[in-house]
Amino acid sequence: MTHDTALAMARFVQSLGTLTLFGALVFRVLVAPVARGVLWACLGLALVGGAAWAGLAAAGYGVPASTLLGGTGFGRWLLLRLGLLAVAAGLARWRPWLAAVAAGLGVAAAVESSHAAAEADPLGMAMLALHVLAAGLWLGGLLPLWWQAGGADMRPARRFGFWAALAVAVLLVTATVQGLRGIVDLPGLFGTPYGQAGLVKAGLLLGLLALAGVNRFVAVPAGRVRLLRLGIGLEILLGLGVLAAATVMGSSMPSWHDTPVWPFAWAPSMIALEEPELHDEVFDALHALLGAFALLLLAALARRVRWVALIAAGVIAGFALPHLDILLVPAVPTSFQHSPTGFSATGIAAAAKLYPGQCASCHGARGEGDGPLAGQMALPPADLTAPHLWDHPDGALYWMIAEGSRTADGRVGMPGLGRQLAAAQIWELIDYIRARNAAVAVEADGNFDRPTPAPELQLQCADASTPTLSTWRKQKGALVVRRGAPVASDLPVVFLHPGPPVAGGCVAPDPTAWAGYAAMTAGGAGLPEGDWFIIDANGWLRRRGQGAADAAWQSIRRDPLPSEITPLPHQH
Amino acid sequence: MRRRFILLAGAVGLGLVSRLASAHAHLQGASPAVGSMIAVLPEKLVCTFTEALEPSLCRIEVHGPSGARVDLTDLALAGEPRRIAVSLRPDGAGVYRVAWVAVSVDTHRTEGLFSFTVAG
Repeated sequence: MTHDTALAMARFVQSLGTLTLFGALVFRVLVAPVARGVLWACLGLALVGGAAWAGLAAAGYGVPASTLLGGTGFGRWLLLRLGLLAVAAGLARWRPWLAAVAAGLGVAAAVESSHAAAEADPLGMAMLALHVLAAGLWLGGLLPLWWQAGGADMRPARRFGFWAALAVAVLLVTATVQGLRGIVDLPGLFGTPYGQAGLVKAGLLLGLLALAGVNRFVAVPAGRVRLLRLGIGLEILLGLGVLAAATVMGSSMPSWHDTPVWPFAWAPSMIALEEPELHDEVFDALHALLGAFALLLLAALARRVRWVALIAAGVIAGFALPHLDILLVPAVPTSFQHSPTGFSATGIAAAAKLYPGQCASCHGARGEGDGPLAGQMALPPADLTAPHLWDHPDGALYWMIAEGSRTADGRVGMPGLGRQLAAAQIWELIDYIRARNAAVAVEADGNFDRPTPAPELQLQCADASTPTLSTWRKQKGALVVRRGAPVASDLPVVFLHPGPPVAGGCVAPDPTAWAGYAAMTAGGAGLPEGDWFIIDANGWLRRRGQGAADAAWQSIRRDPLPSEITPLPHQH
Repeated sequence: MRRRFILLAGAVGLGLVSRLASAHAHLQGASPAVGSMIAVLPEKLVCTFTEALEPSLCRIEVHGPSGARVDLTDLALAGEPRRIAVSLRPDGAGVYRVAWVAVSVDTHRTEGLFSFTVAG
């Protein structure tokens, strides 16, 4: 068993003890008495899980457990949490209400060492606190209810049903709020362990809801004790699964920081809706499906026309559904991955050395698809200077370079480079290809008409700071100049040269970074002294030129580009 | 029946926790930047992560071109909970190698290596 797995199991045991103690105490207050042994057993689970977690975590960090518990924020929160639970268990006999409140505080305290706390997200923390309290009330009450359900008295089950329904409402609302806040997206949901654990959790919750429904509306009204006990037992089992899935989510990288690996060959896309004809086709199909749904309702309500309505609904759906396939586009595992390079100038320069050996024989030295081997390929090599290169998302270009392509009859169209090149090199090649595409497009007049990000630079500034270009320009824009240029502009200036920075300005001392900027010129190699690039306040590269830059800067200020372009290269 | 529940629950739990990923607080950026070249060594190395940090468990070790350790072991939060810094002493021109360990307030530990260069 790995250290991480052991840590997660300790966390699971601790959560189980904490939630069930809280739930059992609330059950004690709101529904019916609970055997004290159950409370002590829950406390025992929480303490054992907490101690095991502290010992394992301290060993992992290489510090004594005492340092972890006393010297870190989450260590102190753990002590507080376990202390509150012990107080709650102790008070249960005399002050059950107070005991439930103390246990509730213990449950809520877990939020302090959650992803939401690490992201400094107060609304997320509040939602999570409500979520775990509701989960504790529902799942923690199931065990005492199972015990209670042995007799013929259905009143405890009825009373618990009310509170459980309230808890379910809170669970759904808090989960929906987090979903609507954009915490969860489709690639994150299907393409990361965090999201997949979330899907498992949602599926188990649906099962729990179905069981709760059977208990509430079938077993309890009919007084069927064995069915009720079976239902509650299954609920407990699914509840453990939900808690395990939640533990996996708490222990794995949140989907919004992880790299999604899309598991399907198709992905939903709204791009078709931009074409009026396709837009109408989709809406007609949706209307037809709505009609089919109405027929289904009719089938459910009117017994006499049931079969006719069902058949009609099936036929309509059968005709309508195929029209919705235009909302699906082909996808690859990297479809939703974004380049990690930050479009760095040094990365572009590194890829400039790879391009001649890896790509030029087919795509040509300038990328126009006219390399010496172009005629021998089963598929004509792509023209990398075509403007629509920018419409291809990062992840699609990555897959094309790494895996290559095949013709319809299975012949190799483009050989994949995934075995020759490291992932970082492929991402850098994509930056280089985009840089060259932009450079060829502005060859005539030096105007970057298409929003083109400015290659990122490491700066050395006169005040001894070492910011990057994107943090330094701070919404003002910048003029990047190969040394020696006359500078007469109110733009902050970055010189591409190794010497000390002038007062108030910065230099980019790395010659490799200059080569990255040289790739943004038509020649591609070498940047003459005095050449400059104007970067606007949003970080777009706008103009390349020589000599005085003032007139160009004034015209750029009169003609701003939006801070974000739709569709962004990676969202098309 | 009860025993079967427990066995099944255990199997579900084990199946799920065996798929754990590990990393949490990613290095979002550093100053000097990862892999960059600068002219003069700054007084401090600043590392920014994606999540709030527990500074008492974080580590940054910097070795200069001579191989000597050049950070002053004074790691502390730098202005915000996601950022830590250590002071540096100059060790001439060449490659400075950085090894970092970050522990986020949600208890997860990550580590990494990078370097930057001071131009000669």
